[in-house]
Amino acid sequence: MIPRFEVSHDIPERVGIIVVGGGAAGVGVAFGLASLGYTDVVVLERGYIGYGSSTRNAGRFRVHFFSKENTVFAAKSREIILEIAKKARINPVIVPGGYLWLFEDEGMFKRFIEFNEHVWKPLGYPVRLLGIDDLSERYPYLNVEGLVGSALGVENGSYHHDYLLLAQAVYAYERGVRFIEGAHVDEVIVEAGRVKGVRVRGHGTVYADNVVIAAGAWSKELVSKIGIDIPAHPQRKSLLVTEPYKFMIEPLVIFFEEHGYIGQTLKGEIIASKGYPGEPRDSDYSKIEFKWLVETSRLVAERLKGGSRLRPMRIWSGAYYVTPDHSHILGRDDEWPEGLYINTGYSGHGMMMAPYAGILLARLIVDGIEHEDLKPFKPTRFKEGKLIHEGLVIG
Amino acid sequence: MSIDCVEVPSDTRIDIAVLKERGFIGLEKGLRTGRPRFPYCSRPWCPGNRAYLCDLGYYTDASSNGPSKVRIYTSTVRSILASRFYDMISAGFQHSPLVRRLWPVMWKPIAKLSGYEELSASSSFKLNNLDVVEVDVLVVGGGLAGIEASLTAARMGASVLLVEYRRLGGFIRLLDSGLVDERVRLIRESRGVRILEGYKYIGVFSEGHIVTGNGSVILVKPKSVVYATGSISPPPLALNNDLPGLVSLDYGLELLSEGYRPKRAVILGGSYWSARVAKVIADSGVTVSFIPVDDIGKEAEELLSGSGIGVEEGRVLGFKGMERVSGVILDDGRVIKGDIVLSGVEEYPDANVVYAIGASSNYCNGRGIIVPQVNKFLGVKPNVFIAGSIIGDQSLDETHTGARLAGAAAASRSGHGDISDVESIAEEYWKLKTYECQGGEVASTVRVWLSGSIEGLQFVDVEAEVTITDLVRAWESGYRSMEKIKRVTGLGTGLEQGRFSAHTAALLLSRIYGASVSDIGLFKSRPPHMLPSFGDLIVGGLE
Repeated sequence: MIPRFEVSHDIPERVGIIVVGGGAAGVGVAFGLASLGYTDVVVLERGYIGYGSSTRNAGRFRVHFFSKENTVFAAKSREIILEIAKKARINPVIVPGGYLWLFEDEGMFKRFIEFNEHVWKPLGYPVRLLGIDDLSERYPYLNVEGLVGSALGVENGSYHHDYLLLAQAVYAYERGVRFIEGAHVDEVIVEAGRVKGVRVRGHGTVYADNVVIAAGAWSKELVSKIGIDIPAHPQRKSLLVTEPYKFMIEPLVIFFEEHGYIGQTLKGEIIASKGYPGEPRDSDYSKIEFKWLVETSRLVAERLKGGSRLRPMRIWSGAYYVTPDHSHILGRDDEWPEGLYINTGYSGHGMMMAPYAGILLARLIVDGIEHEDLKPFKPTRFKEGKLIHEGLVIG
Repeated sequence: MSIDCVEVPSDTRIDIAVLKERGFIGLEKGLRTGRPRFPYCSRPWCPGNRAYLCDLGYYTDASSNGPSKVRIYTSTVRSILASRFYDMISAGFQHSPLVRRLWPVMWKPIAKLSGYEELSASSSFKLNNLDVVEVDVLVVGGGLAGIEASLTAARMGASVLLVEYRRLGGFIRLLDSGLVDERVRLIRESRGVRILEGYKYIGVFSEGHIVTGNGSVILVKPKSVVYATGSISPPPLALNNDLPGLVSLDYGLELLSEGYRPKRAVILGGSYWSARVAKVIADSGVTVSFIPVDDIGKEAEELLSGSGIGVEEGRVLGFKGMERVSGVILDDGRVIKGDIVLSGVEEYPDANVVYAIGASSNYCNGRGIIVPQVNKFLGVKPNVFIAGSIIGDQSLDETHTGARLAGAAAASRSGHGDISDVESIAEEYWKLKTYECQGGEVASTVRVWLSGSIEGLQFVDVEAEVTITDLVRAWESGYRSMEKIKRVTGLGTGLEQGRFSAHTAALLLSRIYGASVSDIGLFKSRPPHMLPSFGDLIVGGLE
């Protein structure tokens, strides 16, 4: 039986915490709050729960980032994700398939190995280096021509992104968090230096002492109305799945220099995407660049044996919400109105990072505890010049 | 799903060849029934009609432009049993540390022992040509409506590009060649129309419309577009409706035109077109039974009278058969025998292509189906028009006039012809229109729901193996929109991408729960609308 999950269209008048946005970030906060037993929460979503890039991503998680902060954060989030699989009533279908990085350039490969030595090994997440012979033996479907090295990160893997989100949402829903669809938040209301609530289009005011902005690519516009600037912009990313073939591509295969990746879902659909210079800076999900499709097709044809004969079945666009340092923005600035929090700017890592971010933010709001793992990601880092430069962005 | 590998001929003929040589033996097996899958229709996105991966690392597909026969493996008893052995071992790969460690050296000998052999696959591909075509009007679909729209636009002075993925003439070509031949001849002679036959329309991208075929990619930049992509007859809902041998009306007809001769055929659906098909099949010497399902049309009745075709009254409960269909079970306990069952109970617009560009859908209570919302010129967007059975038109008169309207409106949008001409065709068209799409929001009837029951294996989506019961469970657990239903059931995630399944599911849920069809909605469709291979898409020199 499918666990019950009902969204409402009835907006309450007053609530303890409003979460603006029902994507990975917002649902993560709802999950975090429910985990703490705090359920006087309403999630206001203008589309449907999971709308936006939360339903338009590759469904992967990893612990390997170039920065120590992101690696630590992601590793903790991975633990939460594995925990969700145990305690929620929807199975997020986690597969520890690993990430397989492939390199064509010696210099790049060396740099990667340095990160392994300096960041991942000390933290307990070394990658396994594979020689080219090993590689073609283990992954016979890959064309290894021109490759100089590869690295396998075994802690990484995949989940079904929709189920991971639903698992968290159902967990929160069962404990009393309310989810509202079709609620378009136009602005945050601030009076005398503190948050009063939000104004919902075509409805009116919803009062609350705390408001969490988790509206993905729409966050910037929302907070700009109360004089706050967050440095983030959307970058449209497309993705495709082929018709299903027999499952064989266990890891997410990443072509480092090409900014491309190929993986496979358990159902058998092969997923692929390739980045290219001059990607559009918008979050217009209705648009797909043919240039991107050509580049991605070429990547599949070149790197999978017989790949030119596979057939894409569905192509869609999502967006990375990119910050200057490719790291997310979490928490609050003390100069902001009291009760205002932010959780956005994941730069492509939202699904995998949001579960831990939700827990940390819940602790901050409910108990006032600013956890060590949260501090580096605070919005204040931009004016303080303490950026977390994250160079390992995929796609 | 399990896959038995066989010799796969290229393109859509895969199913026809398999049918001829092996009877209805599909290539894939459903998890729920263990039955082989077989395509229900002949479109490239129909379930079963797909590519197969048969060994450890190499693929082939059923519809590339490659050689006509691609040898994979012969499906012998040995290799099937042995490949199960391989599957068992490789499934253990993930779980057993020992197997995991030994796997790198084990897989090749085990695979060989299991009857697998390596294909000579390479990663080579060739660069396709890129042509950029600027044109006044792009017409997608070369059936009667597409031809008529093209002729009209060309007559008004517009330059026209007509794209058809198979042959000009559409479904009717198989019924009455006289009628279509004339139009096809006319359009081939028309100087203002460039025809791309055997080309796939992939979809709209930021750069323009993409069409592939014959080793080239064509980037079309039209001033206006007419979609005349036709309709599809959905699988009927009754017990065991996944049985191979249950096919759509047009596909059944196509099999016959390829030389397939069943002993007995059953036709479902009481429309004029069903009767026409029944007659064609009966004339070829096959014993035909006709089950009208609901009312039989007057024209159909006239056609059938004195034809010797048995008309069987009664409600359809399900289909009989083990590995393939052998008959239709009626509520009075009778079984109407047939080696093939052709269903034309309903026609859904094949409109994913216009929903993908943002057209909205509309429940048409006059027809009981969901159609794209159009303005009085059959426009769905300022420069995009639709014609033919994609808007639900059924009669030849409606189709013909609607296509003239769409063609004229598109030409006018591209700066040709007189708007008053368009106005007068519009007036003519709406007078002809036999049904209205106003009013009722709740689906009062779902014609393809033959059994009227929610129990048992009645597949709304054969490919994703979603039954009516699954939909009901999801709805009752609170998942009350198509986006949510899709996520919790997997509905529409196969090759058909909701063309049948989302449409049927929206109507069914509305009928069962009294919810408005528009509130339930369809989910967003995306390109590609015809399946290209990656190799078909690789071009150089794109700015």
